[in-house]
Amino acid sequence: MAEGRRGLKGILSNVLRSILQGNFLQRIHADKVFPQIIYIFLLAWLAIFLNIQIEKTMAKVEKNKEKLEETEIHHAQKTVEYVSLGRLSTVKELLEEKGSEVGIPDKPAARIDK
Amino acid sequence: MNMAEEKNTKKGGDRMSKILYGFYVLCLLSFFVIAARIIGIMAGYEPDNRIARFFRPNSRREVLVPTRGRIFDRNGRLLAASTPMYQVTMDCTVLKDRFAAETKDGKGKKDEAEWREKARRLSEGLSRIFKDKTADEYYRQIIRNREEGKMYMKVGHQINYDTLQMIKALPLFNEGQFKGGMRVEAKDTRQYPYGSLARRTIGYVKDNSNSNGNNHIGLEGRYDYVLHGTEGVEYLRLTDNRQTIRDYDSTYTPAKDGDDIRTTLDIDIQDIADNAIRSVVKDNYKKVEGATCVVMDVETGAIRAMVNLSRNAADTSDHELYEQFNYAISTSGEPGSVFKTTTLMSLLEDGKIGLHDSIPTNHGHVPGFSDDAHIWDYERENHTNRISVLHGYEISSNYVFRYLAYRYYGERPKKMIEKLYNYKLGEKYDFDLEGFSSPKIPSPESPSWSGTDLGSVAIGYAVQVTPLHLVTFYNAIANKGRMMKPYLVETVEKDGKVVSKKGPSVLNGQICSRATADTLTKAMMRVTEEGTGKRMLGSSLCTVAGKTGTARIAQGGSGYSDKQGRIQYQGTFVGFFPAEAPKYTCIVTMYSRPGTGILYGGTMPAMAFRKIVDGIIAMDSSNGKVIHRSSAMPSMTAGTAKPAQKGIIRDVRGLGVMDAVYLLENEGYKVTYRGTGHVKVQSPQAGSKAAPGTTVTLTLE
Repeated sequence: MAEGRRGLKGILSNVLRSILQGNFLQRIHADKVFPQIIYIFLLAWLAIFLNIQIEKTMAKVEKNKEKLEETEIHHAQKTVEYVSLGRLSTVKELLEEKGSEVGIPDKPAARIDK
Repeated sequence: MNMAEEKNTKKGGDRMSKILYGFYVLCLLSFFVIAARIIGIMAGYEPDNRIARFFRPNSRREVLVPTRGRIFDRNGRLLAASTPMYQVTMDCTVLKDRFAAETKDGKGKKDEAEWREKARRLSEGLSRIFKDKTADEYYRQIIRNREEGKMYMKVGHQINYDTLQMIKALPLFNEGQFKGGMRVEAKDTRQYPYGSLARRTIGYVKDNSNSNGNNHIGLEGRYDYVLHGTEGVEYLRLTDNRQTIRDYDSTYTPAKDGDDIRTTLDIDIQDIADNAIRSVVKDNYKKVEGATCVVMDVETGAIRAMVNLSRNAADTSDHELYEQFNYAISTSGEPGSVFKTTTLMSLLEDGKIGLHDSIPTNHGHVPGFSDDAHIWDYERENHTNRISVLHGYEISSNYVFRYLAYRYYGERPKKMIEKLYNYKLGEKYDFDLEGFSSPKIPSPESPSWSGTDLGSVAIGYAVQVTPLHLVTFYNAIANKGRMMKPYLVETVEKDGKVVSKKGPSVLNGQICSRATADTLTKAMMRVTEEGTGKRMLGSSLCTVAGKTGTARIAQGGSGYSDKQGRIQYQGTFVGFFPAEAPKYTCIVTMYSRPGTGILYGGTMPAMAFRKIVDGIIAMDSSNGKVIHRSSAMPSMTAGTAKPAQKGIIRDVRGLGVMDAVYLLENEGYKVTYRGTGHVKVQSPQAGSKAAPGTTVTLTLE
């Protein structure tokens, strides 16, 4: 038991010593997997970067949604204005304003028999 | 390498490794500090909420409002659509405190003066756009509110999207909310491109969250469950850059937009009917309180037009008519002589009489009733004491129908009353609008039944029916006895595709035989050719079969006179056209102001009916003459465009390019144009003097 504790104590002190000396990774033979460690850091950075880009894109999506909504509103209002010009009485008034003699028919049009 | 160089290299190498080692120790210490801090935060650190809320992902629940469905006429023309309107408000105190705090070198005062100068230019713009106040008035209001510290000032009235963009471009407002003080409140509103046409029928919803009969009016109210749609939910959060995005980790339910409704209304027929009534009532505003008109398609029962016009009861000086109360379905009253057709139908169906059968005139006297003056005139003019049923119908004689009712149904009045139920005149059937009034027909089994009730019912008194009931009954005659249920909604659609079809349905497959229907049609044609409808409808563009009716309006418990002793009348003309092959059935009912005299059905209502007939027939070329190959062309007079003043360029703005070029070249000018669309700008300007041969340039947009 005392040897176990000494073993554990020894391991911990070795770890601490190697960290302070700056050769911890070497002692645990992590130099072989050093590229993988760098790769993991790279992945983490990439994940954060992509997350930021996604958020930026989503913010753009929301802005575009607002623009689309504005366009739809504009279209709807123009449609209403355009349709209101198609009212029979309105057409009659516009024709009269322009001095036209064209007006609403007072009898049905004759048809040519084909 | 000699010993000294080796020593130097070793020393340099030692220094570099010491520096690197030192950097490494620094990183290591930083790591321990950060790790300890993270563990500490995770273990139990509670940050100040006032600060922490800026760092927590702020997820808020947002309700997605669905777009309300649109309403179309039968040809797909837009009758109602939702668009937002905007109300601009202004926080007049923006930057005021900041400017006041900047005392160094008078910068604050200078900035304040600059702000006020922009406010002056803003005021000019607002005055130009809203036209409700002068620029000075706007400026004084802004400055006064600024000095009084008022953060809310309503600017103008509600505006549409285009006007909002113009407002946003004005000085001060173009700097945004925090510098210019501009705030915008959007409110979804319903737009009705055809203005007041069929407004009561199309309807509105006052308060969508509280659905009771008073809030939901017309088709908008009745079909709110179709038009409204379903709300959606989404959660939004702020990014690190303080931008709002959807929180994809939370629930998202998209809003479901409302479905569209295609009605049976024909907006051109509606316009014709509306104008017909307004033009007749316009010169008689003192006499007419309100009017209603329903135009129905004979074959299907589809309602092509429903007009309901009434005066503003609160303001007697206002002569305008408004679509505010639905007389057609909500006014159940005594119809008068138009009801005689039901008596005639019953008699013909039961084989009791023929049109040419004659009855004794008896000086127009039926016991229990006042004598019929029409019979006195008839006896005097024709020197006879017999009158045919047809003639009695033509002149709308009360005596003839009372006599016939008592003669053939006096022993069993229940039989005649049951016929009325067969004609659906006693039934409040399901209809596409709320507020359909229940009709009332007296029952011989009721204790209140009196000996004169049968005679009254025969001529359209003692019963209460709506104009819709009447037009449906007459429509059945036009349809050879087949009674179609009146309806307003054809289909429910989503993005142009039919979701459900309402369509025509039958109320009663045969209220009378075809022979009876034909006989009644003949009788009704005589009314318009020789009878009470001759004056107004004798020379209409097509043959009309119809009936006039004039009735006093009961004033509740006080009989037919109001407290001041005044009597109110309703005049009706109902019929169908063209009589030989009916396409439309129409009813026009007008209600007089109390104490303004009798409003006969053969006068203004018949006049309006005539205008409606002529308008509808004229619009449809299938009613026109057919020119066969071997025929001669009809003579036509060439129309001439209104000539412009010589040497003065006419105004062609707003016209299409073909029309504008035609007009100008006709007057001898040369024309060039650029762009596409309609004429927006012309040069030289309209009204300018120019000799023929001058080039006129049009800018199209």
